[in-house]
Amino acid sequence: VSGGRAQGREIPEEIVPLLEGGVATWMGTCDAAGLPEATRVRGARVGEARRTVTVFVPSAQAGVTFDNLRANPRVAVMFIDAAAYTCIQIKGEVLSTRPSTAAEQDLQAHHMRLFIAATAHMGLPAELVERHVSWPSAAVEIGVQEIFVQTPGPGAGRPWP
Amino acid sequence: MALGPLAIPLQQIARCFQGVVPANLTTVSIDGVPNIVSLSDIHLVDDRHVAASRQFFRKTQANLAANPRARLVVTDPATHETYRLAVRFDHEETAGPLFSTMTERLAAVASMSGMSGVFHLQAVTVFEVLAVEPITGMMRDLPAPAPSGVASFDAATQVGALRRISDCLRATDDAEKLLDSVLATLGDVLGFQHSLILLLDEKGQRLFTVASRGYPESGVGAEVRMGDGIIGAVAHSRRLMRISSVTNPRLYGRASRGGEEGAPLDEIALPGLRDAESHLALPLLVQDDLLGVLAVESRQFLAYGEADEAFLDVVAGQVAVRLHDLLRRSDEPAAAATHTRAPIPKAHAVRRFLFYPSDDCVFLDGHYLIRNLPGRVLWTLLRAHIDEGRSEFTNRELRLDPAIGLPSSSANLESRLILLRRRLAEKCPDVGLVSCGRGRFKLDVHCPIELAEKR
Repeated sequence: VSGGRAQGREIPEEIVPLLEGGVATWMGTCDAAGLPEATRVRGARVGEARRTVTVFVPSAQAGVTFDNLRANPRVAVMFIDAAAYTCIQIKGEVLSTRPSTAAEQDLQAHHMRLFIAATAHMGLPAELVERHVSWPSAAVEIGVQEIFVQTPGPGAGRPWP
Repeated sequence: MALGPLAIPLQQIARCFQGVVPANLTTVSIDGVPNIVSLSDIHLVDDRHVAASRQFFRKTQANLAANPRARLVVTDPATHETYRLAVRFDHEETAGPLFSTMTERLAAVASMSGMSGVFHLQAVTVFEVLAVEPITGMMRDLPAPAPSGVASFDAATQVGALRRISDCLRATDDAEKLLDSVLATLGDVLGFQHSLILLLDEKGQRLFTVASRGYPESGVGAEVRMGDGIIGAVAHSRRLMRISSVTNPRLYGRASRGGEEGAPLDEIALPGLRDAESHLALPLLVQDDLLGVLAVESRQFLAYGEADEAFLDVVAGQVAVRLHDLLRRSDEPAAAATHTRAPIPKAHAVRRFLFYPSDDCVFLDGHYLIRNLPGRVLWTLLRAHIDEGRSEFTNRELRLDPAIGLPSSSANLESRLILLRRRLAEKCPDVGLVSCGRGRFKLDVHCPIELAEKR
């Protein structure tokens, strides 16, 4: 998949560590008829201009995600830092999709190490989390259009300033 | 159109609905924009429906109103197996049993997390489940989860524990011994190492601890307000509650247990594990009457399952009936003495009791001892001992004493005497309450005492 509309808003610098850290991340898509799908994301990298984010989607567990993207490039990605109890949702359009590179596999491995440390701190057994599969994966580049605060609380759902 | 059975029955993946690993819900707007949110609590309603608590998510609601089809992803906390559920918005509820259950659960978790009042359940969103499929390729070398709790013991051990508890219930004529024996059996035979029994006070507003096991301090006398934490929530709802929460209690501490600063001067800290991963609490009910709460907790992740709920539900039912009977009969005189105390050498040090009539609070040598009804009872006994030289008393005379103002239920009097007896045993063994048979007791004083009142 490649193409998509013009890039939207800038990603604030203060949330880059959250997006690129070892946080739980899920991406939602839908087909032309509006049927949704959700799939896990393993690692993300913010583009240099901070207007795109590339997320890495383990291919074998993606369900109909990539079929959906061919029909409708719009996506929503949720980043949850459960240890800090913060959550952000990004919405945008997919600009390109391709197989992840070897360097990006290293990035994913780093993400998994951070994720295992974070979840172990929360009490999830590391021996289970280590069994999560990240590879092979696809790199999905997203032009960010909207960012929302989704941390539970009265401010949940408002746009990130 | 009638739907066929689900490929994977919801009951088969019931662990996914324990609120341990957050679920996520994807909805789609009418113009094809997805929206994805995390949901901490998905409730299994029946074999075809699940419910989500709606707290803050306006966009999700707007999407569901326009397009009821959604994708729900849930995870088994024991194996991390994850499932995609194709769901369709069915309806919302803002009242009724389902709403009450989810409200109480949310309130309990919030209270345990020190966040009471932050989360307000606006509605319960009920979804019809159209399909369930596992997400393949997510885990490698998936292990079978090891059994935990009651399920890790063979049937003979489980039945043996039940028999031992039943024997104890039949044999004992003493409520205190019954409480201790039950907790001991649960700990010794089935590994429930950390447990508490609390009884409801005479006003029905608080529960007070009368027995505990597995903690450095007994916490006898520690109170829980109705509705606070899992224990208060269970008392309020009169339904058992199991919470296996990884995140919230660890993050936010335990407000209902006095927090990091410890209990105030005139309060007793509720015993509890600061790093508990699993909680299970059950009401002690006799018909519709709430007697108290039995609570267990564990540092083990996902320590309790359906088998523990079922087993402890049976135990709680048996204990409640017998305990109710013993407490209710406490006014009836009986001849045989049931309690003895080990000989206590006469102490020479004076113990000074200070009574605050404004809140019926008794301090001993400058330290908080007890308050409210048992405080009034203790003060009455001590005054009678000093002023009239009396040592022996009956439950009936306490009940008839207008100065004490006892409630109508004899069960409440006896449960408060248990609390008073245990507080004295812990804090002032020189002064004891010794049962001389059902409905009678002796104030056993082995030291010089001084009494003072402060208005």
